[in-house]
Amino acid sequence: MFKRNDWIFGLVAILVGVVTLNGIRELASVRSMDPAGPTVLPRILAWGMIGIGAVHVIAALLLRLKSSCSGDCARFSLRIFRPVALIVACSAAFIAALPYLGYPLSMPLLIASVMVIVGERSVPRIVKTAILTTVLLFAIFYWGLNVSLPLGFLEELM
Amino acid sequence: MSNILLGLKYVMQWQSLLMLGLGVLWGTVGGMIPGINATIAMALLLPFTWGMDPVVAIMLLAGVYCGGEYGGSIPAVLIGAPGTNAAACTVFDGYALHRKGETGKALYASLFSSVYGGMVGAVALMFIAIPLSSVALAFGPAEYFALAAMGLTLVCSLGEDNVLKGIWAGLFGMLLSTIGFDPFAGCPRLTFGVLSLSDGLKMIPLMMGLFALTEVFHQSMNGVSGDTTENNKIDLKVPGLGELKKWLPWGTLCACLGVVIGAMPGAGATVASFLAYSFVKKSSRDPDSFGKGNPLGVVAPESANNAVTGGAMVPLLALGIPGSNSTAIMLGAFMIHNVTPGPMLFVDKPEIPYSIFTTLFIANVLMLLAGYICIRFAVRIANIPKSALLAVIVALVFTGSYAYSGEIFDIQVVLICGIVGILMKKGKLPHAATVLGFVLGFIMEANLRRALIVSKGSYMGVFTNSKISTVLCLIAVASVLWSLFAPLVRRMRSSGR
Repeated sequence: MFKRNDWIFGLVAILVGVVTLNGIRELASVRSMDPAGPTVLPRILAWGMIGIGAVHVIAALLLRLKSSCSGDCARFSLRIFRPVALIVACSAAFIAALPYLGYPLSMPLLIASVMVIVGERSVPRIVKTAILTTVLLFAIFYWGLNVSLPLGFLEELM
Repeated sequence: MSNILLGLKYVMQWQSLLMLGLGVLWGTVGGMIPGINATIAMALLLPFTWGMDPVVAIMLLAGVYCGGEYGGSIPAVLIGAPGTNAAACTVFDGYALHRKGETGKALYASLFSSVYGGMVGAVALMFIAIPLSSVALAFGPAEYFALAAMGLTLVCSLGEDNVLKGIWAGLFGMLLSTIGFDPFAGCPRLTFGVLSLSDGLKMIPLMMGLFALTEVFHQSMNGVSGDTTENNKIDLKVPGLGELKKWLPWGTLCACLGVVIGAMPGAGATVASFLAYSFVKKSSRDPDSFGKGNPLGVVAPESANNAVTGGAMVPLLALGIPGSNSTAIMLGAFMIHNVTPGPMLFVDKPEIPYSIFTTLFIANVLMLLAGYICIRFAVRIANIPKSALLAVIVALVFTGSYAYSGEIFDIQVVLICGIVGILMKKGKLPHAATVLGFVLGFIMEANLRRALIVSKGSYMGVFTNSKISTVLCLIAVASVLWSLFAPLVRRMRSSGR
């Protein structure tokens, strides 16, 4: 059931619990119409998460003390997260640029960059996918469903 | 019987059938688009019903409602991104079947079980609308809390070899549902000063992040090996009669469950599909195959969430209470046309409730055709090059979540949920349990606190004042204990041999 690396999950679980307990500290004095109040459920959940986290930390440490390596101790490399980090960075740039560049300009850039990150090298395919997808989504949501997608500086031109 | 014939007379006119067909098709397409669920698809059509005959207007909306509940399952199978909240459960086995090359089985299992579930719901509505409404009224806050607690025990079996991780993921989902303004005290909770969190997290961005974006991240980490998806030629074989016979009993049971859940105001299609999935998984002889491409994992949630359409009409028509967002839109349509739902509707204007009963049945027949068309069109998505597919998924989930609320903040939520999802996947934490915790967390907390007000603060009173809640709570506790100790029992048995 437990693995040698479970201490990482255990620590994260404890951290989430502690942050939750800290987040609801100020609410303890809030009066509510119900006897439980706003803090009871988050507090129960936080302690449950801390408990599960503690069990995993202890179990992983015991496993480490008991045996040297039982097959689940392959080296963990952060390099595998490289494409994820790049897509996250591009998405963050998209979110930041959206109000200024607008949807019609920032979306094709996002699509093109994601395609390059996942290994696409054909420029015509990248350009075609980026433009066609943006036009299709814009037509469906902006004109078809009346969603006011951000237009950025294009709003003044239209 | 004469009333049913009266309803049939209204439905079997070409204008009515045309509107119904268009409604089903629009609902299915709307359900397929992430961010547009049945409720939004209905709301978008509501202004167009203004000049229509009341019966035709209600039929159009009923068609959208049925189609919308089904449509969400198509992207759930093809790209692992549920189009609607209720289709979240379909991702587990539907997407796994698609990746195994059994796309046709997954898509048709979803279509047939949706149609069948919808028909069971319609028939149930015809014959047991009035008695079922009294069952729905027997459910108070304590019973709703116990029902949600029972549904939540599914998290224990989602943790694969580590039950505790499943429970933790479920608790995490419940914690996410507590973010935002407290419904009773009216104070912001766990918002950490972020104003956009005051309204709480919304289901659509959370699901898009945890399911779709996580899958994009996962695929990008594995590298894009081929030019196209792993299934160059998508198998769209219709399942045989033998297979359909195997699914039928489960579909019937889950549809009945869906009707009952649908009749309870506030529960809804998402809760029904998770409860049905949990029920089938726990009752199956091979529970380990769920999540790895068991067609019953598609049949159960789809038949349940479509049966909800019939059940949800019960409180609306019999009591005048809209039990879900979609039926609230329907109530809006009633009001536009000066129709007051409630017991007197069956006496004053019987053509309206009885044409709704027959409409729901015929809408599900039309859904077979609409579903077939949409499947043929949608499989083309899965045939595009993988690099393009991943980029299109990112574009679609960002646009869909923005469209849902009109806030850039929701795109940020999708991104953060995607990061959390991929970390959970690497740590072997089931993000499905987080979604389940999120769905049921709010229902559990709100009803527990309401029940505590009723029981004057006595926690024991919540569990013991009603027989229904006592039985449901006992089932929930037994289910958790079984999930925790069953692996130990199995290990002891195998070591004994």
